[in-house]
Amino acid sequence: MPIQRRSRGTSSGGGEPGPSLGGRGRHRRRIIILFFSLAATLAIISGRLFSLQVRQHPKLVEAANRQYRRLVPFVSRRGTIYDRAGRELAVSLRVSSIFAQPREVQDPARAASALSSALGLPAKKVLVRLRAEKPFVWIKRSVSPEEAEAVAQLGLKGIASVPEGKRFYPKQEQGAHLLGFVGTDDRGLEGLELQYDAYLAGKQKWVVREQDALGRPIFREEAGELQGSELYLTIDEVIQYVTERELEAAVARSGALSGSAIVMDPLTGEILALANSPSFNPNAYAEASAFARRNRAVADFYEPGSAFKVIVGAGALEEGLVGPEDRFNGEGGAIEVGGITIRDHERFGTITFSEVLTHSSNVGAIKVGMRLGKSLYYDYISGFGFGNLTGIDLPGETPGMIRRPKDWSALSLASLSIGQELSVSPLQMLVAVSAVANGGTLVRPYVVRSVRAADGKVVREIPPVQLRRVISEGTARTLTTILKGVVTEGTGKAAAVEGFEVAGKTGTSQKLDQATGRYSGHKVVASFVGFVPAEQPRLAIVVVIDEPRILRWGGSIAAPTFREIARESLQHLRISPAARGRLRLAEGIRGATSRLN
Amino acid sequence: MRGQATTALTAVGRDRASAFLKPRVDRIRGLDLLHSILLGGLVLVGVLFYVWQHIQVVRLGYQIEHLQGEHVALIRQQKELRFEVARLKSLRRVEEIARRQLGFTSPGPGQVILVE
Repeated sequence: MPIQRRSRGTSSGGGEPGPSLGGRGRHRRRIIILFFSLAATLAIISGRLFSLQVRQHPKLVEAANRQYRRLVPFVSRRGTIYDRAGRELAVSLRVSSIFAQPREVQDPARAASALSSALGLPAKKVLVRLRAEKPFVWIKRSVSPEEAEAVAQLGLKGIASVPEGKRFYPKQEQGAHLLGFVGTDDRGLEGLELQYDAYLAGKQKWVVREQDALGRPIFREEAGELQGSELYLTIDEVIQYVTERELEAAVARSGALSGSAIVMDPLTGEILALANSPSFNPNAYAEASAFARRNRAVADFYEPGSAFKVIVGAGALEEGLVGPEDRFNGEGGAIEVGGITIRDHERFGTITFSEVLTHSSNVGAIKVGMRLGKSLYYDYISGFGFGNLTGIDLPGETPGMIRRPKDWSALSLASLSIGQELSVSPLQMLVAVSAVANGGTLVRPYVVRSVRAADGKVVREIPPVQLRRVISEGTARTLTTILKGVVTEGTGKAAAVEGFEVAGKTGTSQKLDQATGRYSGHKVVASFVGFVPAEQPRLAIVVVIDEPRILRWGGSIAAPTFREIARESLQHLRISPAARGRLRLAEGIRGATSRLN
Repeated sequence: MRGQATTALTAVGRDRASAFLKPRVDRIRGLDLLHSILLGGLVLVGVLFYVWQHIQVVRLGYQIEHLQGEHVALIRQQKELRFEVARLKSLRRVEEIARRQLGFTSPGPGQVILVE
């Protein structure tokens, strides 16, 4: 039977319309063609998908990450430094720094030229950096807001800015030697900035930033808490200012080379002020000379001269070898030791031990030293901390210089009795006299009271430290009475503060002439070290003036400087002249501890 | 002939069956279509939801970045202001103004009375 060819939709007879055999075959062919076409297309797509998803996967992921994700440095802020009352002494502010990702810079020469004019840098230098085989290079750190804006306007690919911390010292020169300074990479280079760098420094971290096609940030990985800790100092800004002002005036008045002054709480060892002149502005430390930047109060040493008679006197009193009223022959103002004649500044007849210190008799002090003897005297010198570091939390401290008794010459005992043949730092001298002030205990001086995290949590608390007892309370009391006499009727009258009892000792020592190897006739170091109020000491102060040309005596330049610092500091601390009675050291330390809390 | 008769009978049976089955097949096809539409709709909703939430995340990312920028700028401004206050309260500066502009002098000894 022939196959009937019928078109779809036409019917013949009563049967259902259906495809003819020829139509069905064509239909099948079409289906087969379509199937194979789709299968081929699917195979091509699958192959391509395999190629993209499997074979090229790592390369494409990297390309996508390069386009959408960027590693940017996140540098946290350096911790603030506060004085004891919470006043800012050093703060970090955000400034922009320009960096490049050289692989992304399309035309380094053009970019270098544009950056050169925007940032005021030599184009060659910029070009070298842009051609560096590194993923990241700094172009310029700590730029001004105008420079940052100018670079942003350039719209250069691969060039961007990142906020960084820059250190500022709002009080400028104030406390410069204490605080120190930081370099361009925000790391401490001097002073507390160096000593406590591990606490203060912010941490740097690379964080992933996702950005859109226009480079606008969409997401940034959380950098976490990276801010540096904050320092709370023992320094009192007001006392620091007064000390610096008076020291600067004294150095200028006397035409001196330099000067140092330190104010300390003798009961606890808290440094209230530490100043040097000349000083410098830590905001522009690079412009200051190394001489101006030197923290001489801690790092330099000098021969203390007569001020050291306090130590020989303390030893002799403690050993019971002398009493305040013991008499000494003044030898008419001169004594010969080891073939050398040592003279007094005036001719004394018979004088008491108290008068030896009060009027600063060299002859009397030498005789006291001889009673004490080499070994004992050396023990007291060492006991008071000379020849060793005080342990202050500042860098560059000098231990001074003191030879062992076996190396002493025939003259050494006599020389050491009047503060020669040894070198001490102003800080060591202050710590030693503070032991007399507080009843006989050597304390460790310190500058930082506490280290706190940015949220105020205490990271580290530094309590007062008593090192050792060097003399008895009785000896300290006797010596204090004698040292009060220095100010009321001796060489330190200019240190007297109206309404208060002051105890202290002057010192004027000749400097060693490096050229001749002998003591200079005109170069001296004038000093005064003492404490006030004498019976209830709150302040121990040392003033050292190096090479004064006009007022050359400790009593004429250092003592009045002591007075001015003491007077204003006492007023500031609201210490009434009526205060009487000695504070026990333990009470003082308890008080200091409670003040910390 | 027999074969033809059988074919004719089969055709009649098929027609009857078709007439009987057609509404059912149509119903099933309608249901299938409905299911397909629903399934497609669900997939579409799912895809749209995925795209929408992705867009939302990106949009919120921009907002967060913007707000973080504002926050950082305000913190920076606060620090700059605190720095400026500290600089202006510098005792050297204050004393200079007090002495030169206002004519103040330091109180002498005995001129200060501490009120307890």
